[in-house]
Amino acid sequence: MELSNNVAFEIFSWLPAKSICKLKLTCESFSEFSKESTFKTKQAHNLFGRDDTCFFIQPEQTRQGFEKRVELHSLPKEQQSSGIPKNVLTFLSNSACVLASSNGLVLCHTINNNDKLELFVCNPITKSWSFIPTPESLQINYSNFANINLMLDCSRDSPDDFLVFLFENTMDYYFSPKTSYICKVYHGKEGVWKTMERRFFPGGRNMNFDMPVFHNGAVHIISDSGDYFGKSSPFYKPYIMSYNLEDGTSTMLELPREATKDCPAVWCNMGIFNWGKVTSYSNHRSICLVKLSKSAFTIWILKDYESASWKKVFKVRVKDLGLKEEKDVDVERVGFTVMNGGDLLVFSTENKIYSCRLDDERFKMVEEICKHNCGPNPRFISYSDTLRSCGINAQTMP
Amino acid sequence: MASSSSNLISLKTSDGTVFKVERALAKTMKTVQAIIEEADANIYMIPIHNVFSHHMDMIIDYYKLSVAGKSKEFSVEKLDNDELKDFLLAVHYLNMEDLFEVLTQAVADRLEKKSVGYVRKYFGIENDFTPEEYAAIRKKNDWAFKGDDIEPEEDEEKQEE
Repeated sequence: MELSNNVAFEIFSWLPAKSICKLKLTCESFSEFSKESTFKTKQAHNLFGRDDTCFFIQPEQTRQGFEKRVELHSLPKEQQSSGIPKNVLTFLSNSACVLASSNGLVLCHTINNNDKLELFVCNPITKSWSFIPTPESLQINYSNFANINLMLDCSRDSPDDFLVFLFENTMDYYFSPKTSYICKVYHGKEGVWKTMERRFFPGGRNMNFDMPVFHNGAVHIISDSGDYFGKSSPFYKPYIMSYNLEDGTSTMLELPREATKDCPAVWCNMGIFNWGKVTSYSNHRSICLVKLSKSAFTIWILKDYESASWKKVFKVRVKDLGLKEEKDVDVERVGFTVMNGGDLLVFSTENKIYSCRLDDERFKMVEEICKHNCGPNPRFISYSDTLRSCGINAQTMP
Repeated sequence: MASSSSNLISLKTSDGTVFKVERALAKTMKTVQAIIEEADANIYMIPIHNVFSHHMDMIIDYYKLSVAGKSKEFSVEKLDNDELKDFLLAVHYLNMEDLFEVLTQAVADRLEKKSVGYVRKYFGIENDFTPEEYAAIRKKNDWAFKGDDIEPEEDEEKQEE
C-alpha cells in the first residue's frame, strides 16, 4: 500500500521551503501543494520556532548607503535544504537593507538614494512582498542609514499577521538630559501604525537597537559601552533597558558585574540575544549576554529576571579558536550573533565567518562557514525558509 | 471476553496476534473507536488490518511515554525509511492524531535532503509532467537544486523505467 496524497501533503508541510520547491518536480499533484494557502499556513506554523538554518549578513548600518550588499549563508550541514533563489538575493542586495526576519518573513527598507525610503515585508521564497506605509519620521532622505530602529515579530497563532516596531528618536530642541523614543507599532493585518502611549526612556546611553531581544512581553535593548559618563552617573556602566510592550514601562536590567567591571575604560563589544528554544517551556527561555573583549568571548545567561542574576556559561579565548587567518584577528572589527537560542555563536572576521558550538564547554567546535565581503562589524540576521504569507496586500516581487 | 465494563479491548493484528489494550489507548485510535461505537452488541475482538504486531509494540511504547509526559523521548530512529513508511500507514489507518503528526514529521526529516527520484519511489508515484512542463518547473526552481553536498540528480527524463 502506498501513502496517499493527503498523507504526502502532511509530510511536505514539515519540510523547509527549499526542499518543497525542489520536490515540485516529483509529480503534478505534489507541485500543486505549495499553491494552496492552507498548505503555506501549515508549513509556516510547523516550522515556527524551529532552528533557523541560515543568516543574512550585510555591512554595518553606516556603510549600507554606499556599500550595497546582502549575503545569505547557510549553517553547516544545512546548505542542501535551506536558502533562497539567487535572483531574489541579488534584487535585495541591490536595492534593500535587511532589518529583521521572523518565521520566514523579512523586513527591509529600500536604499535607493534618490527616492524616498520605503519599507516592506517580503517572503523571498514565495517572492511576494507587501509594502508598509512609511511613517513620517522616516520620510527624510537618508544619506546614512543608521538610526532606523525597526523590528519584526511574527506570531505562531495569527498566520496573516505580523508586527513591526519602530522606535523614533525625539530629540527635544530644548536641551533635555533624557532622550526618549516614541514607539510605534504596525499591525500587518490592519495595515495601520499605532503609537504607544508611553515613551521608551533608554537612560543616558546610546542604545544598540539592531539586536533587540523579545522576552517576557518586553523588548530589551543593550546600551553601548563608550566612555562618556563620570563614575557618579547611574549610566556609567553599560546596561539593558527593557520596554514593556503592554504598558510601555521602561525598566533597567543590570548586566553581570563581572562583565562590566572593566567597562567603560577597557574596550569591549557586547550583545544580547535570545537564549533557549522557542518550543521549550517558557521558563527555560531567557536572554544571554555575549561580551567580546580584546582577548576572549564570554557568555552569561540571565538566570533570574527579577533579581537580574546572571550565570557565566562559556568562555573562549580568541587565540584558542584556532582560526586560520592571514593576519592577526582585529577584534574590534569582529561581528557576532548567537543563533538558535544558544546552539551556536556565529562570528565574522574581516573575510570569513565561523561558527562555534556552545553546547559543550570542553570541546569548542569551531567551524569555518564561508568567506564574506561585508567588511568590518557586519550585521547578522538569522533566517529560516518558510512559505509564510506576507498578508493581504501581498504582491509579486519584480 | 471484553465486555463494556472491562478496561481492556482486544485488538487482533494482521499477523494474527491479539493485544489486550487499555480502553484509553483504544480511544486514541479513532478507527477502532468508531468500530466500538457502531457495534450493537459488545464487541469481542476487533481486527485491525494493515497493522502488524511490531507496529502495535511501538504504539504501546508511545502511549506509555505520552501518559508519563515523556512523549518527546519516543524515537523511530532505529526504523529504516521503508519501515517508517509502513508504520505511518498503520497509524494513518488507525487514525491516531498525535502519533501521526510525530511520524509525518519524522518522514519529512528523512526526505528533506533526498533527490526527486528517491521521493518518487518512496511515494510510488510517476513523473506525470510533459518534458516541457518539467523543464519549465525545473528552470523556475533551479536554485533549490544548488547546495554543497546535494545528492546528484539522475537525469529523470532519460532514466524513467
